[in-house]
Amino acid sequence: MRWFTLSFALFGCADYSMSLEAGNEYAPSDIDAQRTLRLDVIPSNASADLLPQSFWIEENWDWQNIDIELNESTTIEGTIYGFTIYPYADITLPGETVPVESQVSIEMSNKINGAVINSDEDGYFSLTIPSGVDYQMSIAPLSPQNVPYLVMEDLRFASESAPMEIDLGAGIPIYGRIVDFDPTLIATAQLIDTQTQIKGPKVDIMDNGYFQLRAPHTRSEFTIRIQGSEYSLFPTMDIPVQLAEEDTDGFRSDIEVGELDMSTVFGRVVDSNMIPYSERCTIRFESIELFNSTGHIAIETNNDVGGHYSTTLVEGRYKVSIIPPYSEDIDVAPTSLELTVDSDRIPTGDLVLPSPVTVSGNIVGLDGLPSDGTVVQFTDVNFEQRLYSTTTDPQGRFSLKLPPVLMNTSIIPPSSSSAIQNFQTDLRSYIESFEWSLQTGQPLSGVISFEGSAVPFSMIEVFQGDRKLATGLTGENGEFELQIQVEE
Amino acid sequence: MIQFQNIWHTFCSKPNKPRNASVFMLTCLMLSITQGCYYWRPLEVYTPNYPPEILYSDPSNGTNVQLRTSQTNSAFVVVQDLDDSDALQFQWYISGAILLGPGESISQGDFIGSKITIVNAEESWHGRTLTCVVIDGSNETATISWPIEILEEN
Repeated sequence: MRWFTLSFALFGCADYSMSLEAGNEYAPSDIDAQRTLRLDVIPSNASADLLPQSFWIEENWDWQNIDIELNESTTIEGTIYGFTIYPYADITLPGETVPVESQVSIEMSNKINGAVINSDEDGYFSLTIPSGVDYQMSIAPLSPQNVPYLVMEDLRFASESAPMEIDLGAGIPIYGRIVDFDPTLIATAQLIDTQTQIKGPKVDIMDNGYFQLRAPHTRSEFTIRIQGSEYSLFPTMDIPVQLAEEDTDGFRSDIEVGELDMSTVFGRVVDSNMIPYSERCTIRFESIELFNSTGHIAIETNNDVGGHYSTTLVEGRYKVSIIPPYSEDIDVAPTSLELTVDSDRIPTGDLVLPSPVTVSGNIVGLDGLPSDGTVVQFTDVNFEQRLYSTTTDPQGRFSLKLPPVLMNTSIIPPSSSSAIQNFQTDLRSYIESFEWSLQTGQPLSGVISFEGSAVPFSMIEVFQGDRKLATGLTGENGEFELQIQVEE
Repeated sequence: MIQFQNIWHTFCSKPNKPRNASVFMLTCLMLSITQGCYYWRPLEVYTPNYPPEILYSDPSNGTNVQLRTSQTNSAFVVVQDLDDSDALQFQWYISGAILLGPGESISQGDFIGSKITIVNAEESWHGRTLTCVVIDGSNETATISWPIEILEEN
């Protein structure tokens, strides 16, 4: 918090507040602490009016008797206003307070509690979240664009909240000029909150290269993002800005994009038999380095039915990903390569989509006998994170066609007496057959309830850091029983 | 013989038809007397297939699914199939756009779940539907669809 006076107002006798009681709900001091688990509960419509919620489970708890009581849902509604400025229209009327259509987000850090909704044109919003403390509420204006975003932290939302009236105010101007701006390119400027990554509205850069953004009084660290419109070749540039207390009249930042030498890149997509690939692939170019600019470019194009593609790029080095559409019976696999673009025309020749590989294997249970009904899942790591799945037969065998890429692999046993195993499998090297066995893990069990009643058929996901250890469902009585392999 | 088999199925394959069965037996007896030919095929137990049923889901049936292009989105279903031997297959897709795949399998006793994670939602999906089809071993299906609402974002 800086020197400012709060420019937003919260009216009415509400049950929401800046919380000083956040400590009454358990959260680990260090969420990266080893063996601290996060358990996400996502209720289905088997239980009315309950919403997704996260819970922390510490190492010294009894992991086999976890009773989780869900919080009730509460509806938050309100109206958003802002002060929009018309400096060029009429000096006698410098601006006015208007309703602001916005995206309203109420979320908890490192938890799934919360909701996001877009208000209507009159700034009215209504969204339902689990009641609780430590919420962060953000307002990102959609229209008009010349008002600041807003972030409020440490909020407590109990049941029966009174309507909110939120005034975004006019904010502080953050402005500048793209000194070498090419007016034939369409580009925007945007303010991003460095701490929360909340994005303010995108404002068009004028033909003379000038832009003006509005920053909230309540924040001091921002990123100015300059970027092209969709499929534009304007590089995306992030410029950090830190406002000091004396910057009461605003902050100016002039930006140089650099020389954008264009190049036409073209070629053909073929399968491993060199037959032109007629299905619509996504061909994605992501700059590793631009030769004359500090920015970053990510652009997508598609091939035509003859496999041909053509696009324009700024000179630099790129990672190119060619991703065919998902198919149940895959005949080609995604691939990627590096490409240097350093002249007017760059022919890439034929980009070959590799053939899939048939991956087979056997899985045995804890007793050493074939495990029937075990689910084997592969998710590609570097492309679209597509999931491929099969189930073992009574002889414990499985076989399926997969792209020859790095895969996150999960073995999901048919019963909770064995643990879900997660590991990576590199299918880029030759693999004859896998021999896997089910393993035991650490039991994690308990009951999910709400006001003393079971919460049946909810989805449960267990995380250790970013790593998902298990996915399960609660039973008819709200009970769950999982085996997990915790990383020490 | 084929005719007899058909007649047997016609009269006797459905339960609660004892009168029809009696008529069939009498017909068989008369035919065996008049034509000197009789063939009694082994009885086949008729096992009806129970189609899969989508019991629960998130989002609820009849509501929209809200997707954000900047974030990972998910949905799941809970299914029951009374045929123990049926291996269920799931298929998730965006109508008129793309196949998403089988989703992540989750089991809980007699119930099976499937969760789809959508990493790269596209603005062009607005107004389409997210659909999950469950197919059992007899190719009987259950389907659930949600209209897609793409949230406008900065």
